Amino acid sequence: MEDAVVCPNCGEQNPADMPFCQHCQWRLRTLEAEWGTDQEVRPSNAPASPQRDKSEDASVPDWLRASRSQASHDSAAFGGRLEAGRQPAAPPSDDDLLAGLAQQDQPQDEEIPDWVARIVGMSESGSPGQAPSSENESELLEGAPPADQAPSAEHGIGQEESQSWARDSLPLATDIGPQEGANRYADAMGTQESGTEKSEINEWLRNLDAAAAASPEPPAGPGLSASENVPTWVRRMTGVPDGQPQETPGPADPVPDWLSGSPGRSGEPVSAPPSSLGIPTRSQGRPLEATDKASGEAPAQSATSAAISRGVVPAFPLEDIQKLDVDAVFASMQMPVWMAGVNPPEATSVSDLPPAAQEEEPIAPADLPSWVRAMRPVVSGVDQAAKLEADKHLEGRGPLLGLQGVLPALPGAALPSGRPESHSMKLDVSERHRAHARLLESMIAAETQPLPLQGTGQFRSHRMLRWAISAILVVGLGANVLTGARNFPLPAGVPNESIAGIQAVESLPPDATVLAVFDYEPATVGEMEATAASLMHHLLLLKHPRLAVISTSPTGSALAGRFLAGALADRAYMRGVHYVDLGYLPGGLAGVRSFAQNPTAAVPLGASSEQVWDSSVLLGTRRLSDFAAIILLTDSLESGRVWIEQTAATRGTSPLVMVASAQAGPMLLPYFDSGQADGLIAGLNGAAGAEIANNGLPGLVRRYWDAYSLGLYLAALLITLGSTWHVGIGIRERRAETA
Amino acid sequence: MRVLAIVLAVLSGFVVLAGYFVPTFTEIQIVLLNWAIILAGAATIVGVFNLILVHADRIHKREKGGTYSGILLIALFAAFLLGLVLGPGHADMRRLVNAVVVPAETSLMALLAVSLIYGSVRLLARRPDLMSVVFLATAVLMLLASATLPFGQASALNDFIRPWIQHVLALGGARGLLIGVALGTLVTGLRVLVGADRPYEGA
Amino acid sequence: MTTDFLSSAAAILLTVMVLSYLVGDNPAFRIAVHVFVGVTAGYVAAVAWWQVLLPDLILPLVVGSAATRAMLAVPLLLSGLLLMKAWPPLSRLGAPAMGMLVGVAAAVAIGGAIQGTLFPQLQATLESTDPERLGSLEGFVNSALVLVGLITSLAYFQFSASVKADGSVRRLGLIEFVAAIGAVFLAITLGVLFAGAYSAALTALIERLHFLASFIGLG
Repeated sequence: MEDAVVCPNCGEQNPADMPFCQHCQWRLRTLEAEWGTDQEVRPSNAPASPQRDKSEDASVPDWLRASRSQASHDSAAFGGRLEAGRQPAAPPSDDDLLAGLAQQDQPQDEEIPDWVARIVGMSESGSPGQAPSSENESELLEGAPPADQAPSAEHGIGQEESQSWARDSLPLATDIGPQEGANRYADAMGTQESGTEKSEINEWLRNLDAAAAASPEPPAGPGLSASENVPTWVRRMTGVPDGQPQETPGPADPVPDWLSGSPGRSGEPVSAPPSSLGIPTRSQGRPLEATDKASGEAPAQSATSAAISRGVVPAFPLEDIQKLDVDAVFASMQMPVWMAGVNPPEATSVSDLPPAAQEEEPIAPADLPSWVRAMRPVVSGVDQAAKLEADKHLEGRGPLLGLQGVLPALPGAALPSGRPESHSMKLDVSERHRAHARLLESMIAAETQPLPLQGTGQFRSHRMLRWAISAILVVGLGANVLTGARNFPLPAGVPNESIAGIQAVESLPPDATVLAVFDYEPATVGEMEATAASLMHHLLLLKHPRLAVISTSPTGSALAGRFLAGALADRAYMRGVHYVDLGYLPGGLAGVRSFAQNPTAAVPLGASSEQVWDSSVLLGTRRLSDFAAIILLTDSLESGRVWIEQTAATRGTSPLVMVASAQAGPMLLPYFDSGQADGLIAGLNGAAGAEIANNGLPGLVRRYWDAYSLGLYLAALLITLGSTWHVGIGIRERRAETA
Repeated sequence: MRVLAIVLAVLSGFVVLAGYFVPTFTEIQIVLLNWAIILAGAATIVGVFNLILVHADRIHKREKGGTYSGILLIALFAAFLLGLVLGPGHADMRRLVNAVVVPAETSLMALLAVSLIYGSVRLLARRPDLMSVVFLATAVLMLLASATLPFGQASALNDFIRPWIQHVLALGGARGLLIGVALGTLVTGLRVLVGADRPYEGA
Repeated sequence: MTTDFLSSAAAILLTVMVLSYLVGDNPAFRIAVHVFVGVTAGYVAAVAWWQVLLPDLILPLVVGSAATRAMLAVPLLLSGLLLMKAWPPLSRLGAPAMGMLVGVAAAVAIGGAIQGTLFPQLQATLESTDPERLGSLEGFVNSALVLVGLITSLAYFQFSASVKADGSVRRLGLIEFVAAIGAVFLAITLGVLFAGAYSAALTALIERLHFLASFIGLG
């Protein structure tokens, strides 16, 4: 949309050339912008010179031309009549909206219509009064459509809409002749178009002014009581008998200044606004004709009565105004210059009219596209169209006193209501809000995200270091394995704990029942088989025990079978004959405790669900202490600790010999040192002594020892070199920083 | 359910603990321990079920690594069905363990050798302090003392340095760690028994 | 024979695929690891069924006496509730079974820690200071070092601190000094453990190299 304008009230977009918002009827353009002038908008401002050229005349439609001619004729007659009754203009005040009109220099071709002159009066000089304050004027003009909009065909305003606008703006505008209009007005006002009309007009205006000045207090009671200050026409309309005290409007409802400045009240003539001004202001009341005939006159009358009952005096009672002919008013006035270039709209359908113009029917909501409706703010319980349609509020104060439905139902307008409107609590989230929320969420989530790694340069060097270490180890060890070299001798010294374990095994009686616990994982199969092979081979070789194999690991049974069938294959121990497989003991320390307390209850059947406790292997064995010894093969501190702790009370005198991995040996050493374990063979270093004691059988330690020693030396070398390198780099960097 | 869990935990815990010190509770302690063994076996099944659900969900959502999860599930169901039919003690099941489980796990352990050296080489670069130096010096000393020299051995390292470090310096620290672990186990167990900690309530 | 060859070939293949991680992460390594996890999980499930649930729960319920069945009603019910933990919507039902497991394990841990570690280790520490057992100066020094290492190591894990005048939070000065010594002993202990861990891993690598060499007829 080119040059779209956003409504400051509802936020909807409107065409740039729209003076009012299509949705809420908020004024989008100030009157200054409308008139193209930088001056304050005041009724006293002299309008642009109505210089009409011939070209303009050619483009002026017939109806406009006819109205101009009528207006010029009537104004001439009206001006003559008013001359005699002109009073000195009252000193203009800030509240005198139309006072400024008297100060305006009326161009020669601008004649004041009769009805205007009667209302506001004319000064002796024929000049309008002083300009009223701009504040009041802006108040009056607020919400009013600019004059050049109403009859514009570009805005799709139809003939009827222009008439209704005109009726709204000019209460006396009718399509009857000026004379007839004046007569009708006079009848409505209770006066006749006679020579005494001027004096009577001045009289009631003067009376009104005096009444307002004398009684600023709020009205004492409802109703309008007749007094000497209440004009006759007012009394006639409201039915208040004469003589009754007048109920003047209170301080909350002061007499409008434009009334106070009128002749008859202040004694000073108030210049009639120039006809060229012709500002259609809503303050001038509803049209004379019943433009809302569809809604009936009864509501208008009741509204007027209601206003009167509240103690206010409507300047233009709705009922009388509706009776006036709007077209006659137009015909009686000279069209101002700013309307010269206005063309009547094309004949359009009623639906093209803005809601305010569709007064023949209830105002229907705009038929917006679905996507536009989705963008509208969520306002629950408030239907703006319904508001406009149902707006029957009677203005009780200010210049709109007595008028009804003049101003549209503006959102947020202070409508008299005993109950506050309910508003939706639904959060109106726009796309921008969502974007901000997503940004905030990403910022918060980023706080818990790990920082990215360093640059690729360091990563590449790390990868090279790993490759170098891998290559050194694999190549070095692989070469030794492939060549089968035996350059590194086994250690001569045997640890004390290894010696103790060997002695504990050698002290067992022959053909005893020994419990072998295979509590190591498949990952340490190579080391554990090499570490335990010598001791177990020595045991099986010397003592021929009957083995009961058990494990707290699900794969222990399989590893036990692999060990007995692999490293101890020469012993030819057969399952069911030489050993039984008690299988998997679940529960960790609870299972060990249960087995320690009652082995037969903890493991009732063997690994293959066979009866084991009555077999020849475990004959006579029912408790843990019945086992001659417990050989614990473990690669973890946890497993060794559990077996030591839980079997301490029920093991009796049965020795516990631990065969541990090199990674668990140092932590299990305190148990050997405290006497809770009778032996500890840890790693290849500890197994070397057992292999020596077993006459080098089965020889796994010897097989691995060269590569093992080489690997240890390579590791020590790499660690030393690498640490020295990094220390040197660190020292150099610190020196560089200090330098 | 929550209250029942707390009651069961506290009650069973106190009964089992009493069995350590009061002979009267030994029998019921054995009963509760046997029940715990059965529950532990069921917990193993639950763990396998959870593994299946995790990888099945990854496949269902077509996440990254879903192909590998499919391979895992195929291997899992194949091994389970084979074990269910043949039994874990069957020769073929042992052969399956020796062909798949042992080589893979042992190889993973072998990778650890490279990682340990790599980490120790870079230790001083990341944390250059006295403790790191003592740690590395002890490690290097123990490595050197555990091996033998070609064409002979260094008696000083093998016969004196290594035993002294392991049986004197490291023994004190190891014993301190064991006592500290025991004290921590005692405190944690008591907190569970009195209901202060309830790890069984889950998320 | 064929079966053995196939199992050996599979072992070789898996060994090479896993060791390929030395070069870098690759699909072969991932496949090997996933196959390993799957086979292990399936095997473990089969072991749990055959060696725990069937002999300890199912068979006694089927062929056992009335008293046995009555005694197994509780673990049967709790096992059923425990199986509900596999489904997130019903996982809360498994809380009682987990509670019993945790309670029993905690009690066993307490009993084992007191009877199996605390008392024996403290007793051993006290006995190590017995002059009659020391024998020589070397023994005395060694025992003293062990005792110092024990006490300072325990002090290192003493984290009670107070706010000082300058606003910093520090432990007591004596504790700080003792803890610093304990840190040295702990560093030595961890160094020894590191050497042991490397020895175990090195042995595993050597075993795998021997396996590869034996498969190709070398080594």
